[in-house]
Amino acid sequence: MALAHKGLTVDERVPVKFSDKMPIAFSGQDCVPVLTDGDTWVADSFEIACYLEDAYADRPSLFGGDQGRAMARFVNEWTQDLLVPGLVTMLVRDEWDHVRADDRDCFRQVREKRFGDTLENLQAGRDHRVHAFREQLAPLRVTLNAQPFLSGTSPAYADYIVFGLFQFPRCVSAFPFIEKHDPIYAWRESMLDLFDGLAREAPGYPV
Amino acid sequence: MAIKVFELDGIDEVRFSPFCWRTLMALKHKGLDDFERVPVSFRDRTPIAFSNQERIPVLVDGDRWVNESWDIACYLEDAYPDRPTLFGGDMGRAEALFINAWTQQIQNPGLISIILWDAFQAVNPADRDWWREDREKRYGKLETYQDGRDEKLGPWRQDLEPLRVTLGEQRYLGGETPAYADYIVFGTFLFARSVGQYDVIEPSDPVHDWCERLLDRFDGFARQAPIVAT
Repeated sequence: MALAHKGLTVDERVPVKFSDKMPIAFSGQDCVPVLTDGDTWVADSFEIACYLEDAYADRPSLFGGDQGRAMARFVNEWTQDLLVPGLVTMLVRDEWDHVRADDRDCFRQVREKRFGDTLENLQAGRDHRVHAFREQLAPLRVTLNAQPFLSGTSPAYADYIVFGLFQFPRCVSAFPFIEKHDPIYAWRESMLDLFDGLAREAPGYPV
Repeated sequence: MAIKVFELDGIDEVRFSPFCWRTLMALKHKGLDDFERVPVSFRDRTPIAFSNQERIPVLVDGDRWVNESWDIACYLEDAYPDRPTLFGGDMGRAEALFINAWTQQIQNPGLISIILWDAFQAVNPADRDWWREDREKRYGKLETYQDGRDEKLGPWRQDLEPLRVTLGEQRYLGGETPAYADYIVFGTFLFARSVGQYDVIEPSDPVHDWCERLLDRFDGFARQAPIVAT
């Protein structure tokens, strides 16, 4: 979304397997995404956004200045700290179904070790837990009641942070993690329409 | 004509309203130092009768008055665009509204459940009947907040994690220097400090270091404020 926002053409999207990070061995670390641009490589989505903002300063801004960038980091940490664990534990077994067959053992082993339970147990009870998850979205909901996007009248990187995470459930599960009457749902619909439906065209469930 | 801020007054000139603090810090940030602080009691809002509403803070600037701390910050930003910026542009303003919502939905309610009884002790005796009736409508019997502080502190401190991690990456929510987003969140900690409960944040917490930096800001403006002795 950040690349599309900057109007940059992606020459190549390189798939990397969970069980084999060889394609990014050049970076000396094993976290994706990794962006390469000429001789430069950058890992970590927030760092990538900062790189694009600085390297393509004449393109539409992702942050709207230094203060906007600083506050986008708070949105990033809020998303990481609250929403990622909440969503992962509700969807991890469904996610497994969408992992490549030859990656599934690796995926199961790593996740079960990290969360200390089986994928099946982790996901169990999500019909109850989803209510608490939706409640945690209150700051986002209140903000979107006051303005069309987190970034104001048009979307920018703060929106992509949260929206990017919401693409994860859409890709792996029919589980309705947001209710249709929620203002967050309407915001997500407009995000799906951005850049000629870039995100909507990704294979996924109509949730 | 000097700017006037009508703010809620507590016992021994302790002014603990987090919303008033946001406005005071915003004024200092803009360098509008020459403002008059007008105390208003909880039970008697006649000093702001001119506004035909009861919400405080109210800022008066010449012929204009503005209430609601968020609207006051936006007013100051727009009316004094040549002064240091509170938001750093439209996108920053929009994101600050999210931080405002986080404080309103998460940080502030959690703290209130921890320090409501202490806040009650910081209310002027003459205002206490009014305050009790008003707050009990929202929160139930005040006495129930005398206990359970320690059990509530852990989850509340956990809720501050996004703030803590962000402040591990940068000095302020606004980046290298503080901005309105900092004052929003800081106002709530000043509320705790004013009623003698600054230790809700542990000294080892990076959030504490950040509070200390903001207490020093503007020649220790916030640090010099009267607080309830404990």
